[in-house]
Order: sequence, then C-alpha cells, then structure tokens
Amino acid sequence: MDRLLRRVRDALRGAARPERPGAPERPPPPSRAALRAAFREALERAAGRWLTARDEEEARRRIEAEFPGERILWWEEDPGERDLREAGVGVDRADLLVAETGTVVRTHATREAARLSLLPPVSVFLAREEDLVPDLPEALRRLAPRHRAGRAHTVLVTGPSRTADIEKELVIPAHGPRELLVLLLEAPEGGRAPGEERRRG
Amino acid sequence: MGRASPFRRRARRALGNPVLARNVLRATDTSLAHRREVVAERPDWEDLRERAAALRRHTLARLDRYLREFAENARARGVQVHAARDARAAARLVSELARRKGATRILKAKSMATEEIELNAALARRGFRPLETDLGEYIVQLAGERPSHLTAPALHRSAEEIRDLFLREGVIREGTALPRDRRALARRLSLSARETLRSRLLEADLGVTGANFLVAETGTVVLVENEGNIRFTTTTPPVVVAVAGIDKVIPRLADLGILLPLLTRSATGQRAAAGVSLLSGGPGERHVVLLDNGRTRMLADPEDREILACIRCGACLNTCPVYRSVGGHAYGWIYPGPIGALLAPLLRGRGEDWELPFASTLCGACAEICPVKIPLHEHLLRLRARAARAGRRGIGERIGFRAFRFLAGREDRFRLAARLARRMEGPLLRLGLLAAWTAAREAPRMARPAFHEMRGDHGPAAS
Ligand code: SF4
Repeated sequence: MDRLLRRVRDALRGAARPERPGAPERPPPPSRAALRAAFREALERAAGRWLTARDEEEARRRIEAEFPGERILWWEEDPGERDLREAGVGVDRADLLVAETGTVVRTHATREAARLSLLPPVSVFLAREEDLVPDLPEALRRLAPRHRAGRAHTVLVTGPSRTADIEKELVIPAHGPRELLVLLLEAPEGGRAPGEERRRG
Repeated sequence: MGRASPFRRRARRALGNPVLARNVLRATDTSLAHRREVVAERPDWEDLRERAAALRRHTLARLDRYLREFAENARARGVQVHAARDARAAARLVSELARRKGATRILKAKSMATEEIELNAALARRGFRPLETDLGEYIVQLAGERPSHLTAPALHRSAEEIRDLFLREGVIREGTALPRDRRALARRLSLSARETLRSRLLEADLGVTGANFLVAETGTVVLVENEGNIRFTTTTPPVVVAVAGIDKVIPRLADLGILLPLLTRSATGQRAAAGVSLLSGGPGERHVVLLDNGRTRMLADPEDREILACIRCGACLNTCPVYRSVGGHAYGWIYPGPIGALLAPLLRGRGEDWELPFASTLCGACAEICPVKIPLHEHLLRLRARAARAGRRGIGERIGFRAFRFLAGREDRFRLAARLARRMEGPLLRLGLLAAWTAAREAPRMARPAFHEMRGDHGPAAS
C-alpha cells in the first residue's frame, strides 16, 4: 500500500489542485403530503406497490390478508438463514424513503438482516411518515453519521429486482424479490414507530 | 492488400454479421431512448455534469490523500486493504485468497476491473471456476466470450442465440416448449437463468465484486445493480473481496448524490438502480484490492488524468457511430467504444491498442453525452498524434484510417454522419466502412479535418 501511495504522490507532484465544487443549491423542502405523493408515484413507476395503514396492528392484518397462506417473516423475529429460505414474504423496517426515486433505504446490523429483503420472493418495508425525505442528497446526509461511526451495511432499494440483459427486455424478477411493497403507517402526530408498539411473541 | 490491422480484421468480421449488427443497434438505441427520457426530467442535468466533472478533477488531483483516507477508514472497519501494481499482482492476490480459504464455490458480481485483470483465467489456472452471477456476464461466460459492453455484457447476442446456448449448456432442458416471440423468449430465458442459478447463490465460500465507487471518508465500497446478484455475492459467502481501480475513489458519501443519478441515468436510463449497496466493513471477512495497472502512469500526465474521471456508464459506447456499427469485440479489449479506444492504449498499451484512437469519426457525440464531461474526441485526436510521434506511422493506414477519414474528412459527409448519429447511421456507416475498406486504395485523399473548425457546428455544445 505504501508503494502505491508513493507512486500516486509522485504522479501528482506539481499537479494543479482544483478545489471541490460547492454543493448544489437545495430546493426548499416540500410538504409532507407532497413527499408522500411523489414517493408513491416514483415507487409505482419502479413497479413497487404502495399500501397504507393507520397503525401497526392494521399493517399486520393488511400484509397477512395480501399474502394468505404464505410464511411471513418479520424483522423483529431475527430470522435465521433457514427461515429466510422458506419464507414467502419478508417484512423489514425502512429507515428512510426517498420521494424523488421511490427508494427505500435500510441499514442492517447482521448478514441475516440484510437478506430479509433479498431471499423471500416478496419484500415488504414498513415505514413512517417521518422517514420520508425529498431526495438522495438528503438521504445520504442522514446516512453519513452511521457510516462515519464505523461498520455499516446499507441498501438502497428501488422496486423489485430486474434485468434487461437479454435484448434489453425488462424482466421482473431477476435474482432478488419479484414483488416489493412499501407500507406507510399514517401515524397521527406523536404516534410511535413500528416495532415499538408491540413485540411479536 | 497488405496486412489488415487486428482492429480492421475484427471490425470487418463484425460488419459481416447481420445478427450482431441488429442486436447492437437495437440495444444501444433502447438505452439511448431511455436515457433521453430520464435526462429530460432533470432540468439541473447540465449543472450536475459540471459539478461531477469538477468533483472528479478535484479528486484525481488529490488522489494521494483520498486513497490514503479510504485505506485507513476501510481498515478501521476491519477491511483488509491490498495494493496491486499490475493485473498479474491483482489476480494473484485474489486467487491466493481463494486458495487460502479453500474456496470451491466462488460467486462473482459483474466487474470491469476483474475483466481487466483476467481474473477468471487466473482462477481457472488454479482449478477454480467462479460463477458469474450477473445474467449478461453469465451468458458470455457460458459462451466462452468476453463482455462486449461496459454495462450490458451480452448485448451483442440475440434471444435466439441465447436460447441455443442455454439448450446446449443445459440451462434449459432439451424439449422444453419455448415461446417464439422474441420478447416472450427473452423473458422466459431470463427467468430460467434465475431458477438455474438460485441454489448456487445460496451456498458459497468466496464472493468477488468490483466497485462502482470507493468512499474515502467512510471506507465504503459502493455497488450498483439491478438483479440482486450483487447482494447475494456480498452476503452469502463468509469472505468477500472487491477489486477496484484506484480511480474509483470519491471523497465523501454525499458525492454519491451527484454521481449516482448521473451514472444510472446515463447507463440504463433509470432514475435509480434497483439496488445500491453501501458496504462499510463486514459482516464477515472483507478485502479490497486497489488496482494500479497503469493508472498512476495516466495520473502523472495532466491530460491522461482527465480520462480517469470516467465512471464506466457506457453512454459513449451507445452513442458512438463506430461502436454501434462494429460492437464491442472489435476493439480487442474489455473496454470498447470511445473510452476503450483511450484506455486500451494508455492502460494496456500493446501495439494494436494504439490503432484504436483511429477507429473514430471524431464526431464528438461521445463527449456530448459523457456525464463527467470528458472531451473524449479531443483525447482521441491527441492519442493519434502521440501514436504518430512514437513512430507508429502507418497505423492509421493499416487500420483504415482512410475509411474513417473518408467519413469524417469532408464536411458534408461528416455532417451527414453527425446528423444521423442517433438512429440511421449504423447501416450507412457500415456501408461506408465496408466500401472504403474494400476499395481502400481508391479512398479519396482529403485533408485531415481541422477539428476545432468543425467543433463549432457539430462538437459538444459549449454549454
Ligand atoms: S467516458 Fe464518459 S460516457 Fe464513456 S463510459 Fe466513461 S463516463 Fe460514461
């Protein structure tokens, strides 16, 4: 490594050192309703599905009703590899929703947690209104402290997995989930976060 | 007829293959159309490009600092950081790792850096056969070929050809009823690859990836994908190694806010890729191999350095009338198109690589589309001069420089080529090249175009 760094230093000896460009100007943050609408539109454009529920109780009922007879895995069960392979639906929490692109952002602590939205054919993310951010720069701003602090594994997911490698024909799914749903909890102000309301026994 | 140059030989073969011609044109047209649509949505597109270009210039000029920062921060997160001076050293590092881990099952994510170091061949010499997990890479691996495009490795193949390949290789069982309709067939083939690969994605000893970016401030490996195969490659095996050119370093996580939208919109015309992984350290054992392989040499020359700004989006390939006519394999190395015609001589530097800067009409479409504003056609011209200075005279003649000059040399023809550069030029240019190459001696002698004169009309908008 030292030798590589020396070669790089030598190569740049006497080089002009242009400054960093400034950050682009940021538009004023849109209203929460506008963010919601934008996220939903972008999510559906990316072939994702949008659901809402008033509280977590209703969210669970809705997901179970959507996928009757399927084995549904919830993030709080800390599922193991065996469960992941057998489940039909993996329900994870979202950390952030990026309105501009319909992207779900999620940081995971373990390898298994990272696979909850990868192995089951259906991936569902539960999110709260306050997770909505307008765009990628804002999402990155919120993510950065976690990555600066140490190890972190984050995925940014936009719609179900896909490929266009054969004749540019868009095919869903590829290796990841075939369906992706985002369920927004329309908690009234002061509502609690999903996962805090009830622990699944 | 004298000796035909390797490029000319390969190009002529490509020009004589109508299936390839159709596949390449259709695929690049589709990519360009998608790109146009999503670029039009961003009124700040030009501003983004400006910032990205400035950011890349800044980073490369301070690469010593940012590279050190990346290595320190990755190490602080438990990542083992290795440096490789050349392709052989990098391939050796990875195959040593595979041997040490007794890795019989190796998953590979699509990566140009591992193509550059010919990793699969190096692994094969040691008895390892990694599985290419990206569908396009999987197809070219089965076919015993190399990728023909930076982001769509199998774009030169038709669905029918892939069907025959899958039947031959047992991906699909003989006798399976398959749709005749091309689109339905493409769909069916993609899904059958998913089924065939599934079990192999679930058990593995070693994962090998490239990197789209390396973030200095956080030691993060950034991987962009659509299929989910990269997420498997980085979470199934206990050990994962990323091979990345030193040019992949970016200063901060926030810089992805500029670079990711430019990359995905330029590459596939997507607003966002289906999956982006930000990997700052484990879970599991993590390695990063930082690849030089000629990059510090490029860094030392202020003009060559500019070319290292490339983020491998592939847009300049899609828009290049020569690439669109002859496809990627004609270039003879894994980096094709305008960017490949610069990287091949500068990174690999074989005699035949120095012909590639001549394989261009200098129409400037590449520079116009490049998301990080590399003036590709100016560099092509510069490398032509360098080739001539280095006594590689005759190179242009052998390759059919005349053929290109025939197109680019006279304003009206040039205008025509430039005007048709999006849709129609493929067949015309093919005809032009074939005609010029078969009647090479009759090609009209014309003055080399004064490049800057044409630029006002047809070159990249000064914007
Ligand atoms: S040179 Fe520019 S357009 Fe070509 S692949 Fe690199 S970034 Fe993309």
